[in-house]
Amino acid sequence: MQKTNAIKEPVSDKILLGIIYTVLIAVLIVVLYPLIYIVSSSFSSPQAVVSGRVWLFPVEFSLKGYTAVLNNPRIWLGYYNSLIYMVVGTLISVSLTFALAYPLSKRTFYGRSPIMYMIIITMIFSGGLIPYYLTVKGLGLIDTRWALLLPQAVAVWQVFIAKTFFQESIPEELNEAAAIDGCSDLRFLWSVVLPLSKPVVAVLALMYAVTAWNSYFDALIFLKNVDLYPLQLILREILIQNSVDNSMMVDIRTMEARQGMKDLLKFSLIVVSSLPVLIIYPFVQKHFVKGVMIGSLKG
Amino acid sequence: MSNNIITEASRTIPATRRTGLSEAMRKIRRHWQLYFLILLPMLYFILFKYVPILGIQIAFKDLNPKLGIWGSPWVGLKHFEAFFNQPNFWLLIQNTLFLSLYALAIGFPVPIILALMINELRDGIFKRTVQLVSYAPYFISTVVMVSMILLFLAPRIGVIDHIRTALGLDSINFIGEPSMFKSIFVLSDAWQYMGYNAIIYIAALAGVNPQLYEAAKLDGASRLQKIIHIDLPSIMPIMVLLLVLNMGQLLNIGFEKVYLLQNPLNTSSSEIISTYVYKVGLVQANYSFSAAVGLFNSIINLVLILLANFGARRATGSGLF
Amino acid sequence: MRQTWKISLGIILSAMLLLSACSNNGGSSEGSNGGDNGESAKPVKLSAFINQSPNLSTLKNPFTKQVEEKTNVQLQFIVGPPNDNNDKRNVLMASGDYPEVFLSGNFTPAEQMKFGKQGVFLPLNELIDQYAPNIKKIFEERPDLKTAVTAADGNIYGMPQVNECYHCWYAQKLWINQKWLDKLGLEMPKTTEEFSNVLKAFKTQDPNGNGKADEVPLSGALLTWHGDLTGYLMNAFIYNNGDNQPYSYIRVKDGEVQLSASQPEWKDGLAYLASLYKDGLIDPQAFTQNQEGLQQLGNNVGDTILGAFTIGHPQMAVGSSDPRNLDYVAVPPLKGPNGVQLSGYYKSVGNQGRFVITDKANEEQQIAAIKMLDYLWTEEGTWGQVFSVEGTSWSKASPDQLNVNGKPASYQVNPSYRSETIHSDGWDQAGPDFRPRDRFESEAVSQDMFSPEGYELRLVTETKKYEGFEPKEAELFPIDIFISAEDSEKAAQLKATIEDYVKSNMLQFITGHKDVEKDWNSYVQSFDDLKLKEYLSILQKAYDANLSKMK
Repeated sequence: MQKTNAIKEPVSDKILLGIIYTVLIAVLIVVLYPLIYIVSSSFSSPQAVVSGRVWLFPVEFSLKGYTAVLNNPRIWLGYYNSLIYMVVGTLISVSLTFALAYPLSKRTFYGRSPIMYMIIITMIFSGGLIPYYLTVKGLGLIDTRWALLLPQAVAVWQVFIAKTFFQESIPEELNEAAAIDGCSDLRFLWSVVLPLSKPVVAVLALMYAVTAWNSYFDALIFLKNVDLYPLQLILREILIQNSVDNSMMVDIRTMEARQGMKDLLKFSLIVVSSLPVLIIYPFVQKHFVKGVMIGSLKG
Repeated sequence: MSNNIITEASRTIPATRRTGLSEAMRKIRRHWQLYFLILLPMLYFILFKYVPILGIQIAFKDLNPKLGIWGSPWVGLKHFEAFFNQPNFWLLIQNTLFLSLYALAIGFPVPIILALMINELRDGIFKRTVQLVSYAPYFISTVVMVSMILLFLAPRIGVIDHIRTALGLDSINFIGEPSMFKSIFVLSDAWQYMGYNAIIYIAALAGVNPQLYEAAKLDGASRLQKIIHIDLPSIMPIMVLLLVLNMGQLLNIGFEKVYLLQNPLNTSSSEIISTYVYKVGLVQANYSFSAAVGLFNSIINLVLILLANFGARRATGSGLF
Repeated sequence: MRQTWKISLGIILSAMLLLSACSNNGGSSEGSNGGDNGESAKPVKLSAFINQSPNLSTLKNPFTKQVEEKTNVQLQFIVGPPNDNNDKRNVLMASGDYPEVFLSGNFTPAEQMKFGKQGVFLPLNELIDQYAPNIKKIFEERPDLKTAVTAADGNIYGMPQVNECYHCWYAQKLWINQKWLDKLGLEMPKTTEEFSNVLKAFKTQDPNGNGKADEVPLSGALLTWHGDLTGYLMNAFIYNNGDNQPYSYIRVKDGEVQLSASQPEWKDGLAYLASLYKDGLIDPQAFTQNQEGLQQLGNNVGDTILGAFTIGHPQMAVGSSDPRNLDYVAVPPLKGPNGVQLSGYYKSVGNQGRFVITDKANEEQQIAAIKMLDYLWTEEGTWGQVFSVEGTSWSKASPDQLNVNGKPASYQVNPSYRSETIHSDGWDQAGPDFRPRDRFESEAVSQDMFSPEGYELRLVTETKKYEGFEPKEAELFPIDIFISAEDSEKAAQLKATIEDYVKSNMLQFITGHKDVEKDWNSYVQSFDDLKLKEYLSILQKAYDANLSKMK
């Protein structure tokens, strides 16, 4: 594939591009198909889904799945709660991550190594569920929204990702040059680093937002009443109903009713609950467009 | 680094201890703003990470709710022994490690390749569609995901089966074959997460200086050469980072999906540490036991991450730490 | 430099100590206000843990109010999602942050003993005796109930949700397509031999008449209510209580607790199943699919392809909206070549350990709590938990309505209740209600067992075919058995590997990966490595203690 002849280059490039396009189209199909299945199932009648008749297009078109979602006040409340957790949580997370990653990215930062070790240890070792619960309880956060916003605020992964971004994109010389000009650390951060960090911030924000949106476990253990439940927890409750529990003898009709609810809501709920995170992606995407980082930095 | 110099100094010449401390204070004072900045995140780590770590002691105790963590009696290595002496112990370790390494071997390169390919596309509808579509499966919950896997792979009625019979091959009961379990798990994970995991790399590639590309073109490099010599090196730090971090989570492979995909036919391949602990816990929640297993996992993970970091240093000159 | 680190370390350590001390407070100050003046004029505050299902929109509903009024309490609910494997409940217990009362405790006998011994759960005997006349009377009429909830040390630590669902006792059922039997002129099979002939006929004689050999003679499913076909079929050889039980594959013979799966009769059963499989009569998917897979067979569009299947109730495989679900009838227990003819039996007191009172309750709260339970066990209190306050979702039956046994019904349910996806009253069965068999069966139901409303009647009728085939009491390992916490921990660890081993080997034998003749001995011998003897001795100990409790 490596041609040194200038005339022949476009051909090998074209071939490569052709391969890339083919592979990506294949990827698109493979990924798209199950997604279409989900959407089609959400618009089909539950009976059709259960009997396996849905393949590509909706069978027995029905909006029952969606009306059931819309009619369920708990789902609406969950949606609202999840949005709050996602937005506020992301703000908190991104700020804290930034505040930690930037200093760590400077090679001359005193104490850099021990701090890095310290946080890596937290990634590997954990006291387990009970100490975690007791800590949150000790801080008086049980049954409050803060219990879902604070304990998981900073992910070590993201700190390191951000740190790596800073290291690669903000050269030390720039900082030193600015310092000579009398620019303080914070001012440098604010006026130089921040504008240049759009891709990093975008990535961090997306990952934290998605994590916050998907989380349910903290809500499960920290909340005492369902008014603060995020959507994912409710979704889970519905989906896991009727799964194995032989010791729970419930009367048949209730069992069937619950199963029916699960069949009805399963797909429409997935679609509805995935919408926000799917929608924010294009907005975040534009920060990954090539060339956003002005080359003058590296020059 | 700077630590060593100071420790050295303070060891040899007592008088320079003062210098070491004041040297440190000087540096801190000069960049006080940065230290101020990290205060809040560090507080977070202390409060929500380090304080709970103290609770690791329940792995060595028999937790009694009335006595609390501090008051419960010590039992030494009792829970560890119970875990090690369990007849399936080696099988569990084996399955867990193989599954994780396999997942890493596939799951790690795929998003990178995807990102590199996407990066070659011109900006436009196709590019954005591919990104959005490949990102979407991330949000399908595990329960539904497993349902779909079972459905698609089902011999009589699954879509895969239809394709196979159309091609003249016979039906395979994929989900009943122990040898296929790990592949099903790994490939479906790759499918579900590749788009999301590619995002970091796409973002990193977006930061590559376009002048580099132009220079390469002038030198007569082909697309492939450009990918190899410009793109890859520019995402190398992120790659190394993620690889090392992943090694540090190797034994933590999530339990829910494995549990849902398990059936009596494939348990020899699908029983991993977390599904075993879960089954034991079904009868009676024993936090001390799971804490002991968790601690064991952590130690192994620690060894792995140190090894990975060391390897990364050797191979690329810079590691995580 | 070192000093800076030392100082920071010191700060960190003190912070940790402070925080852990705060959380170890035992919380005796929680909820103990109200009524120092000795009179119960002011409602007693009770914090109670309860499951709230996604079908219930709110717990602040008319029924809850009714409970509070009738028993003079003020309930502060701590909610946990149902079906989370008790994660929430366990965290509350282990961290010491538990409430005064549990309404959805779901504590197994072993857990009750553990917490009872630790003093976390309070014995209820005295309280019931003095303050719960309703329960006391019930215990007098049903001494078996009282024994079932009493731990080996004579204390009652938890009260159950009593749910005597007759057809659930015999839930290990096999259903067969009656239309196919008629079409091929076959009689209902009575022995294993006849059954395998019927399956062969299903496979080869095209009962669905479409000219294709697309019939699936026999199938089942995993992780569903008795969908495992090896459960039902093995009972023609030796007692098999099936998968996912508190103690699976266990039986008692002459006072000795045994693992059915290592007995010679099990081998015969395996041989039978292997021969069925070899002849292509068992759907290979039966061992890997979940309920959805089975549903796709049962609800197949176009021609019927499912001949027979094992499941707790047939609508789990063939939906109620599909008229074909009426084609399937239950097969009475088959008789094996050695004359063994058993049915899996699951009579138990219900969902154990629903209601407990913890040591966080002061005396006034204890009394209020037990009085509340007393109310919850009355008819009004029970139907309230299950449906709503009287008049909304349920009401007294009119004189002409009959129940599932053809006798006058005592209550009727508003049909809209069962079609709603979300309820706004009642507790959706999350609490300790009392539905012994006669109360359970006293709902007004359609007498036409083939109508959708008559489904319960149909199930009861089908179940009668199984009655009498359960093993004698002396051969059953009690479902409600109390095992000490220490032992249960050990047993739990062994149980997981032993049961996995039984299951995976069973399938290897059936599918032919292992040979029943050649590999049987090594299979049995391997049980030693799995510490089967130790496991059985733990169970034996509990069994013996249980026996002496009954005397």
